[in-house]
Amino acid sequence: MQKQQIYKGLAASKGISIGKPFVYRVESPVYDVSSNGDVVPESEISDYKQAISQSIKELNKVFSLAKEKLDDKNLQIFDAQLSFLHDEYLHSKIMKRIRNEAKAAYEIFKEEIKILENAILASGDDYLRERINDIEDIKNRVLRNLVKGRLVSKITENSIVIARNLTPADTILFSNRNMLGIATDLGGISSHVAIIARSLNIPAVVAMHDISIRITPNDYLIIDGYKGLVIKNPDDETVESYKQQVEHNREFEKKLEQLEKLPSETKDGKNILLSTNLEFNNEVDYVVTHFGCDVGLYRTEHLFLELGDFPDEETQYKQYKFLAEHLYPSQVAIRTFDIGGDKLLPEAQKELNPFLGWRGIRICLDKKDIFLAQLKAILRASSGGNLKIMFPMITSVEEVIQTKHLLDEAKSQLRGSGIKFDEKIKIGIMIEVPSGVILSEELAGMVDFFSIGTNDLIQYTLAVDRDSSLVSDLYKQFHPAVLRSINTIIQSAKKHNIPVSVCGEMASDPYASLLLIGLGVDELSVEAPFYLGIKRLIRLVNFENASAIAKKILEMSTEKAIRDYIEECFNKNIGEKLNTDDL
Amino acid sequence: MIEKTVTIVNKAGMHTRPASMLVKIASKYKSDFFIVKSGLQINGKSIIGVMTLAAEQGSNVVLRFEGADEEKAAAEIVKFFENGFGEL
Repeated sequence: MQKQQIYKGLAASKGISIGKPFVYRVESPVYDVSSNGDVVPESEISDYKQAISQSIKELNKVFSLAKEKLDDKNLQIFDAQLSFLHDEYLHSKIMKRIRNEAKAAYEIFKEEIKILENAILASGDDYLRERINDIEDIKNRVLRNLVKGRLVSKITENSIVIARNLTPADTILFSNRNMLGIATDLGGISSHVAIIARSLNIPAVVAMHDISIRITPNDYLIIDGYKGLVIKNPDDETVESYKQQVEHNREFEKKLEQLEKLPSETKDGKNILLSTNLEFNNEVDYVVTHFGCDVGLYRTEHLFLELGDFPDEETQYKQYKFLAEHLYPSQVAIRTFDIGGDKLLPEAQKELNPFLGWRGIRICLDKKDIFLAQLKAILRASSGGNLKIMFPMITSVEEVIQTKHLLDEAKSQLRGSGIKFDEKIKIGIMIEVPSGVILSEELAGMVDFFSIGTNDLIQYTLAVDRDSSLVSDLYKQFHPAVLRSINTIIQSAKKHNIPVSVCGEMASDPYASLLLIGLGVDELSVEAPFYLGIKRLIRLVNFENASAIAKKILEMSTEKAIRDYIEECFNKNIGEKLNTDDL
Repeated sequence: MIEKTVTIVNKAGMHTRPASMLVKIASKYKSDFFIVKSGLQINGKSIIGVMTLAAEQGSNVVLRFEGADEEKAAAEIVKFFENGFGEL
């Protein structure tokens, strides 16, 4: 037995998992191992054809979407990528080689592209060599589709997924195969893989640098999603201690279930609406039977990411109807597509600063057809009266005017075809950029509710990318500028008598949620795994105390003073109780 | 059969974009179309083939056309080369 080794990364999703790894390498295919000898040429060929037609489909979709955004040069590169996929000479050569050499389609395609790359590199001409990036996109797309076709059947169930990086689509794919945990070389705490892992309650550690080459399929692993550790081939003692911790957590979670039917109100009787964030349909039943609560944030991006394209109105209608019916009478706030341009644009057109680029409501307002389809789908599903609509990334009054205008258009189209919907459907906006905070008073007069996306609000207010290891320690939820911004938002909302919800990660942090309650938010919307823990906290808090703490904190000017003070208050008032297993 | 020697005149050489356009033009014609560079002959209707030539600015290539509409094909394609693929 090898000696145990501990690697450290960033804790992206809490929890502990113990098990065998599934090492996922896109660049060297997962079925490498099985491809010695038992390649069936006919099935390789059909995989290849499938991958090519899938790639053509994807590229056409991206193409049609990005068309108006691209200049002529980039459009032609896109077009050139398509001509690769339509190159019959390439296809017939590859299929011939598969038959003759009995090698995997993946290998042969890679070799053929390698020949091309080598030829270009050998040319010694700088201009030409630079163009090698043009074929990178298309190569990766085809390889990914070749792997994906094979992947689903090859993933061993109940394993810990180890990868260089996971795309959102990969993560969703793996989540259908009961993965136990995730560890990746790249990614950050706010990367999509981390967000999905948290919402699925799967332990995850990211930013491990080179874990994907350190782990082999024969290792045995522990993922510690609390401390951000991956332990390779742990000794018996370590395994035993982690098993105890898992058992203890399980027992405590069981105990927390006693809180399910109790109200989420503070000790002095102030009701705090506690709701959950939702993304996947397989979470719905659990939410209904265990929490019976509202959904403060339903993310729609996964509908896009799974398809690699925007779903049509009918598909969306069915999805939203499913939610509205299953969760009835609970309220569901559907957030319209909050997709970054980095998911839509080809390599050549990628923005240098996607966070300051084409994303969220900006894409929706540019792509009116897509936006209208989504709005109509939500409206059509709203006849039960329990849906709300929420718009992300609002930075100006004009955006709200335009958005409402489009909503009116969607409504009148539906009326024209005699389709019923909730005429009084509530609309809200996410306040998550500083301009939204500064304009919050005007904005509050235009909508029915606010929802604060704290993750983005912190990043944009402090100008810190949480995924950059150089500055991530500057990402501070208790920075006075962040807390004062939140206060401004709440005060603006109160003036216009509209409710404020918080759906970012601050809502599920015990210290921060105490403060949010004190600042006067009406609703906390948390990821399902945190729901009962936060309910327990709400029930331990005294609202008057929390308000006094919040008031004092707003006068403080350093993050450290605030953090120290809140920790002190927390420990004095509820910390002791929280540290015991009592409820 | 028609054979013509042409020079790559645009700065960036035969990169992705012109290769794709060349293949499109060649595919309009029934005639076979081959390009020869430094002894390597490739099918001019295959983008991966054309790009494998890695023809940089200043290099000479031989264009070979064979078929019913070879004259028309040769005329359009030679012109496309002489115009530096529209990148001059």
